[in-house]
Amino acid sequence: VPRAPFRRNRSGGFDVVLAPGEAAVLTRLCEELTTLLADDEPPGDQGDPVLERLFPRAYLDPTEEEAESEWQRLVHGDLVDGRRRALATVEGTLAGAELRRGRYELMLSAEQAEAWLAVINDARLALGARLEVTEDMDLSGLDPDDPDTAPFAVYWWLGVLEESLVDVLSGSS
Amino acid sequence: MTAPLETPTIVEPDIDETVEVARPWVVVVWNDPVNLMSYVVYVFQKLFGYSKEKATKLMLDVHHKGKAAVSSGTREQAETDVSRLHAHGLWATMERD
Repeated sequence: VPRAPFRRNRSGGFDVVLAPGEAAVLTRLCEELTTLLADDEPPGDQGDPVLERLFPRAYLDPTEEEAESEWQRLVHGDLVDGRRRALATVEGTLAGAELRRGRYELMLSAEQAEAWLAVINDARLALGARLEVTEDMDLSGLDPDDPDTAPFAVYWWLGVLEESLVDVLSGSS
Repeated sequence: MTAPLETPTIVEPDIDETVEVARPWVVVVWNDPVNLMSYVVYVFQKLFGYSKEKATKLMLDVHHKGKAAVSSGTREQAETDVSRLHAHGLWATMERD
């Protein structure tokens, strides 16, 4: 049984162990999300499915357009800032990881672990929207070295990572 | 079954308050193919303080019925809940009940 990437430690934080390739993928995903979040303005009707998924509308009712614009104006900056802060936390903690016996090891506080969860989930949302994944796709067992399936393999791996993190944060392991 | 009619007492209503009470806003979370079931349960517990049982039931409603009403209140409360859900990557909208 492979070791779970996240484990609760005795000091109330979390131990993380990643293969070098996994740490590299996470670093790259952070860079991609940072680029995606470069704009301070609400995405509006740019037709970008990734931005639309990360920043959905609040009001479905088209007659509430005025309330929608006002709500976007009020919250969009905070939503972007929150995501950028989480990214900075993940990038900072990843940069401080120590290479031991061929694996990257790091420790996270509960707050840092929440940032990791937010970033991993955002990365899955962005990738899932770009790849147009559906619920019934079986993405297990894909070759991460095949350029055609690599993004799907990354998406699937992020799901494994996130399950492990939700599991430890929920206190069930 | 009909209750007997009573003579109505006319009270001047506070219009705004009446509207909010009569038509509260409902926050709806929609199914999406990406978010993990365990993650959705975790977010419902974290944001709304729901028990694991209630959070799981809501998550299953989202999963099987396509959507679930997760909270309700004034327009301002609903807007706050929607933005908190969006901050956690859930696909949430708000509508009048």
